[in-house]
Amino acid sequence: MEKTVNKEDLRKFYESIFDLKPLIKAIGLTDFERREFGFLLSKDVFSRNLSFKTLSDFKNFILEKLPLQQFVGAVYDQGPTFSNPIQKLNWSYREFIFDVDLDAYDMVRHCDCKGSKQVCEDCWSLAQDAALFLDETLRIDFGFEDLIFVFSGRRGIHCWVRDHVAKELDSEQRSAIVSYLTMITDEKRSQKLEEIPKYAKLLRDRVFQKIAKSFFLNVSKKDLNLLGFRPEEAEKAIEFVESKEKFSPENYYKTIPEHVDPKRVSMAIVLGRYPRLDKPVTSDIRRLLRIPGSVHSATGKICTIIDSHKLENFSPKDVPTIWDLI
Amino acid sequence: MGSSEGVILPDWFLLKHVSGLDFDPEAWVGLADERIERFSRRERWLLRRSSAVFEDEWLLLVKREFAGHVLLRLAVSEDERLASWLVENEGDLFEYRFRAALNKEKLQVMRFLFGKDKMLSINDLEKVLGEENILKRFGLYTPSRVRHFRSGIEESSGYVAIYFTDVPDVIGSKRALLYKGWAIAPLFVFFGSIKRKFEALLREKIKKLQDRVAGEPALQEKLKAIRDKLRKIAKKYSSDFGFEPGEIPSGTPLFNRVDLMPPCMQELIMILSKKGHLEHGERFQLGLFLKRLGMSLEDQLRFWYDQAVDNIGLNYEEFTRKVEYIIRHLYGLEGSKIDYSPPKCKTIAESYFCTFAHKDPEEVEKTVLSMIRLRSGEEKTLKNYENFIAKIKSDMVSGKPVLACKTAFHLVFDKPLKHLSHPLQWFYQAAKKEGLLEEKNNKEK
Ligand SMILES: [Zn+2]
Repeated sequence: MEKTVNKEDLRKFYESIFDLKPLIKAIGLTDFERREFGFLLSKDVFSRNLSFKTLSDFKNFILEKLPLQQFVGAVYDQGPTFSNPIQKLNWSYREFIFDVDLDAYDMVRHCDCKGSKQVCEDCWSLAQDAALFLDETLRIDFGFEDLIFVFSGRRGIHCWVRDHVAKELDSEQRSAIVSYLTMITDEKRSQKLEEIPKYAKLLRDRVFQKIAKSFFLNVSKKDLNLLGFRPEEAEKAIEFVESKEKFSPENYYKTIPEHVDPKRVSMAIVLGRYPRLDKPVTSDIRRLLRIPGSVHSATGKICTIIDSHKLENFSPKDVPTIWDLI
Repeated sequence: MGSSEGVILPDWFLLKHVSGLDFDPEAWVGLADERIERFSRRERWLLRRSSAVFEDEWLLLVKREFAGHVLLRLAVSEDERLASWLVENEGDLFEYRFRAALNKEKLQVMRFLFGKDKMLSINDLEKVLGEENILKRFGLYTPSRVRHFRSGIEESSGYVAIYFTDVPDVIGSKRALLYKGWAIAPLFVFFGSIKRKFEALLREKIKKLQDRVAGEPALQEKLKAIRDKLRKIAKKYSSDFGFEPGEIPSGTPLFNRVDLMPPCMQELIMILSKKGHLEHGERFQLGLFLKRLGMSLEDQLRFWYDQAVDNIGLNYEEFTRKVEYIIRHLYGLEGSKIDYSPPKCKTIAESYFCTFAHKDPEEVEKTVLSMIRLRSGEEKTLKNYENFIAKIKSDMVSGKPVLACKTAFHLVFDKPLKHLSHPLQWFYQAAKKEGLLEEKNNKEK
């Protein structure tokens, strides 16, 4: 039987452990009183359209209600309330959010983690690849600078883009950016693949640098054989990639033997390791997102900000649970 | 004539400010009326000064053009359907003139539409970023890429940079190089965004007139005749489609979503990719459909060129002669210069290609299965599948192709389709089911 978070655990946690700093790091303190919050108060009572005048009002609410889950939304022209819900208010802004969830990789995860709450190193590396790819694309292609990455508490990573331009993007602009970043659609069923982009050259090169490298570092020789590599070629290709500190698109082309169909290989790379982003989370400007620093009640793990320099070394295993802390 | 924020705008650009235009609704009614007539004939015309025209004459001509346009803005301001009709027609006219304009004029218009700090030449971009040789560094200076299409290439193969927030459709379809927030591409890549921006600004201007017109009963009286005329035209126009056009959101390029297209279009695309070409009428049917989904002329040329060249080794000259002319024709840029609308189901069943009117009922199950596969990645069993197929076949046998098509929609999308008289309705309902288009409910005023 798995442990579940109970009210007593939460009381202890909120009284002495719960830290507001990660939340403040994500949303800042300006306009706090106009920000929407939402909470899962008990198993089937969800309440949104809540706002708080001050941080201590927020904290008092938490201590009184002991919510199972905590979420934060957008800023409106006034603080939302039960009688003045967000539908009636004017939307002001919202950090630009991305969500990578390993659920979306179920059809290509080779481990046995499917559908369960655990994550193993194999499949976590997919989320890491996605976060690193996202980080570089948002910085270089879009020029964003103020990014934070957050472990969702279960098997996903959230990215918060906090640049001024990003906060004011409307839903159409947000969905254009997520389309730019998307190469696989209907990822839980038919997994339709797009062609590797011709004109978005930086994105294209990044697929060959980052995703291809990671593909060869994680692929089995048997899978390469299925793509047309002869056994000795498969071994050589993997060794070649391992030997390159910096992997370039030119290196990539050298990795593919002449008689192998390059398109088949590039499709396998995209299918196997290209980031799978949850589109609605990004394009919905009124969406609520889990509060950094709060507990994920399904796992007991803390939703944790990941140091941007440590994305590569971060492992969910190192994240404490509520029971470790109380 | 007038300039705006230091940008000198060409006279054909109707969003510019014209000085010395004395508001005179009575005198302008005739001009507005003439404009409606031209639009309803789908006529597109240039406003270009020839050297033989004296300054005074020219100014008068320009004023008459603006007067007719401005009065129409006022006349449609209180009725969203009429406004859509006007915005779409003015948008098409703008596009026609923009394509015909000199490169210098194009850049001026773009600076006005996007703002001077959001639309830069590559030189200026390099200054802003403090970097050099941006095109070369990214391997972008390759005129061979655009050599394929003669259409205005000499004038518009030059690269420009537009800030990403203003060109979501180009970003979403990965059609530009994106660097530090700047979409860098040959000018023609942005044609669709430019037109949309024009339409959005015109829409805004029309909206601002609402209160003015509402507060002036005398003016309303003067606009009455024009409005009645417009209502008649707009009514016919929207009943052709069953929805209000001009609402295709950019960002997600819908024309790539073959799985949301009606069976006839899916089959035409399949035939095209197998055979490399289509019959004239079928080309017309598919081309206009794609155009209406927001595919630009350049994208269509690329689409048809890819299909043709990959399959039958048609060389570029042949392509130009056989296909490009016809596609340009669809955009009203060749021949009779009529900007056509895609045909309705009834017309398709009568004289183009309709799956349920022209295929053998025994063959049709294959088509339906391939649609299901395209949507779900597998030939899965759907609820009441056998009943649906039997119904489709019997509708076909009794000569009711549209009914059969509605049943196919119900089967594939698990949702009944209320109205179907145009292939775009199928697509719009499918896109709504996918959450790509918003359901229009109680529009806020
Ligand atoms: Zn795993």
